[in-house]
Amino acid sequence: MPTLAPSFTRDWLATRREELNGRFRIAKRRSPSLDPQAVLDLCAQLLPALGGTGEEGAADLLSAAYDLILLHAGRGTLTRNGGSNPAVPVLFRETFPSLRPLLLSRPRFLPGALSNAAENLGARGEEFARRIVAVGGRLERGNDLPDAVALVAWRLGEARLRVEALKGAGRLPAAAVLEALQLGDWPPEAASLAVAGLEADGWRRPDDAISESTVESLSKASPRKLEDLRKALSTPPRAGLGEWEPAGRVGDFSGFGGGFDEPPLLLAAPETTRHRFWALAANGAFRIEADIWGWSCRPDPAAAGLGVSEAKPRGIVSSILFGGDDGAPRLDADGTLSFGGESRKVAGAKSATSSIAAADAVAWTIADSHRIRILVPRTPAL
Amino acid sequence: MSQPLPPRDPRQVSSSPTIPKPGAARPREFDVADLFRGPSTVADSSIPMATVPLDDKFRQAYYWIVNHAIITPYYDIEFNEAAPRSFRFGGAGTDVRLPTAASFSSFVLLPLLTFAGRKKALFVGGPGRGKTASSLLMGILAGYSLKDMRRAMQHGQPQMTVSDLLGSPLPKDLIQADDMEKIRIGWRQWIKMRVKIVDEYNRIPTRTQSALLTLMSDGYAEVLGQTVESPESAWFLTANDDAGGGTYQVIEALKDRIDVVIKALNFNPRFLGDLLTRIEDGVKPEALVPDEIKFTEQELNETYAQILKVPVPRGVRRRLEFFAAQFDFCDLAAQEVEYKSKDTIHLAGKTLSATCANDCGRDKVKCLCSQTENGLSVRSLMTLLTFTKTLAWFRGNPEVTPDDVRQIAPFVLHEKLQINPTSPFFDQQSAQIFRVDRIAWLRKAWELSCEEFVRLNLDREDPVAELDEDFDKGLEGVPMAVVEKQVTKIETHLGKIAKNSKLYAHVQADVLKLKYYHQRYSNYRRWLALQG
Repeated sequence: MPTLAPSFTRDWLATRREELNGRFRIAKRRSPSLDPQAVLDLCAQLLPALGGTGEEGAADLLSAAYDLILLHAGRGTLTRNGGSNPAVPVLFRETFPSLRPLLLSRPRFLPGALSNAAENLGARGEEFARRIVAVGGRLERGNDLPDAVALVAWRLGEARLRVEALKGAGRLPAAAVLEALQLGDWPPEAASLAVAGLEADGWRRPDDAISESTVESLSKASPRKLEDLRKALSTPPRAGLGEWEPAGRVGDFSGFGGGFDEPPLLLAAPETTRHRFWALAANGAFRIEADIWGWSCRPDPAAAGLGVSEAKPRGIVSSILFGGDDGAPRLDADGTLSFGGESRKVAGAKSATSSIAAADAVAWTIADSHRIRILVPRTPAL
Repeated sequence: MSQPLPPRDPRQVSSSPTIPKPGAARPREFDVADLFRGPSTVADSSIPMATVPLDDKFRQAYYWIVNHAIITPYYDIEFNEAAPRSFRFGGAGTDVRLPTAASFSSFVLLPLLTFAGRKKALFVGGPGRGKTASSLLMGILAGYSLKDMRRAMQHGQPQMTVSDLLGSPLPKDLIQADDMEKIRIGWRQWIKMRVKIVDEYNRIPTRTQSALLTLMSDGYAEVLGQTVESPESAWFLTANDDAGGGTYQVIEALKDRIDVVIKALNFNPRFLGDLLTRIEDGVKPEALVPDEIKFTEQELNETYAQILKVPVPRGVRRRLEFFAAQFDFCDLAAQEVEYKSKDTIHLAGKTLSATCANDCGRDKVKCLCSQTENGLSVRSLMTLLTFTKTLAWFRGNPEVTPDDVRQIAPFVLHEKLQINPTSPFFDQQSAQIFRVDRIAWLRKAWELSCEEFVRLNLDREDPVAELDEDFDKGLEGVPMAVVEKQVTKIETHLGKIAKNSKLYAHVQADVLKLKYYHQRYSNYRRWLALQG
């Protein structure tokens, strides 16, 4: 039988005995395998670090943590020695105790939100649970934690979060932003530059966009110099076709964790951008978000009505029939990329089964691959 | 990405949209709050939740109540997309239908509609049926705490005074004031609340009932010449006896202010297991209402605005007009067409049943006019219209349908239409049950009315429709020749109706409208003539 040393946590458990027992009974009905002894052990192991000396918010934090223990113990995601989801024990044993000062400001929200975020990130949940500790260490207010969570989750590959995460980055301390972007050794002046660069081009890592020498000079740079750099990084990349490079291969066979049962075809969706595409496969239509950190693929039944964006045949007649250079790049069926009066052959794009162009990107599919290839202009680091 | 809470968890709220519609399959726009949603509850009202349409939020509230709060396994408000499977049971002869569209329990749906439409509902039924609990839930959905709602609930009791109900003068002012106007009143907090509960209203003494009537009908309270205004609110009254009986007789005017009657149905013993769980777990649903289904004042105002915008298409309105016309009419009540109303009979101190015993040349089994002692008041019709709009809105429909009227009318008219038990209609073997089951009777009345409406082909051949359209354009600038034509048209119509039909209830309504148009056009014609 676990025992607790005299503490706020012990008092809290004692005074709420009936209520907590009732909550256990509800959880037990939900998860009949819930083991009372395991819950007692977990409470003894995990709660004292969160109860502290009973500062403001500590009672609510204990309450939220207790519910999480019931939830995860019932699902087997948390056991005395680990659990089926490696992120959950890390959350309880490392993340929550480290972030306790922040959690106390919104104790009814933050623990559950962190737990949900770690689960929603799937295989990256454990890494998330550890990284958020480092980022949280750079925060002063608990209210900033949700923005930090979004930024860390995006950096770990949750591409759907790109726009919101970068918006939230503007509200975070520079050190937290850099830590979240895994650029912890960069000077604080680099934070807004890195964010500006990622906003303009999500296919370019900050360390590809800003050279090492520029990073080193930032701490001594004048405000004007910093502003010039920020403006330059905020400009969408423009380069001759010779500088266009494969930026990513997104999507995959469903058996390998991708979304597609068969090689997909890109759909002619008007909302296509260099970070967002729609594709059709045997198992339906999908919306794909992608950038340098990762990609996500969600079913989008409404897109099933869209036509496939086919690669056009090459030739004068085709140019007349299908239009010429209309300000967007164009990938022909023979793998020729044309844009701004230039053209070049793209390796691997010959016999593309579908292709689509945004203002500064082109994507295509081929018959024997479950992936979508994306080509974007590359510009040298500043 | 987000995972719902496990079933049976009282914190679980149904996912939005609760009624997926064709064409709405596109996933909603990304919301960063999705990252924080999942199996763990995040109980914080400041979470940036995705915006759920208000009708969907109300449906989420409905499903939460039926799944977690009130054990009411009844689907007595039935809707169908296709013909439902039906099973006939022996005995008295009962048909059980399996609805093919989302159907609802009146005991939960009607309080929600009352709450959304700011109406006044009366819960009736035996003790312990969940009347008070259901009312309390509505208050909590309005954002009040359980403690506030309990404190604000008025409990009818024989010693209840006006001061108990409304408030009392401040003792210091009573002693020191040299003028009545200077006496300040300590008003009771509940008067200002958007959800008001009066428990066992039939135990309130008559004098106090009058004070309650002023507050309910006029929206203000008065004590010692001082007044306080009450905001637009939803009212929930409870009574243990649907005849309104109790310690005191409920005054008629107060009864008349009740918009809808909600019957607390008996407990189905097959759900005893759920009850047992409640006891063992010490579950108090009213203390567990999730934040996601609580409404702000702004949301409630927006809800009401949306409800009012739901259109009642002409086809439905005509059916309603036809239905409403049936009840007030009595050909034997007066000589003049204007007074052929049951009010005339009552003003003469007679009853419909006595008058209707005489022959009027109609088939009294078929004519709905024989079935009621009275007609529908303007207030009843306004309430009916609001509730039909609210139901259509709740179901996520763009406009009111005849089914909305069919389902809601019995609850709105339950206390409004008094049955004439001597009507030959109720002597039929299949209709005797309607003397007891008013909900079924009113539903049947609506169906019979619609059947007659269709039989008369009034959807296509409405003698007044064309005149309505012309008149709606206004009289200003209409030339004399057109006015002459309209007057002639009205006279021709009247002649045709008189020749081809008896003065049935709906015919009387048409005739009176034609006479109205005739008067408006002929007055205008006189005015035009004077203008030269």
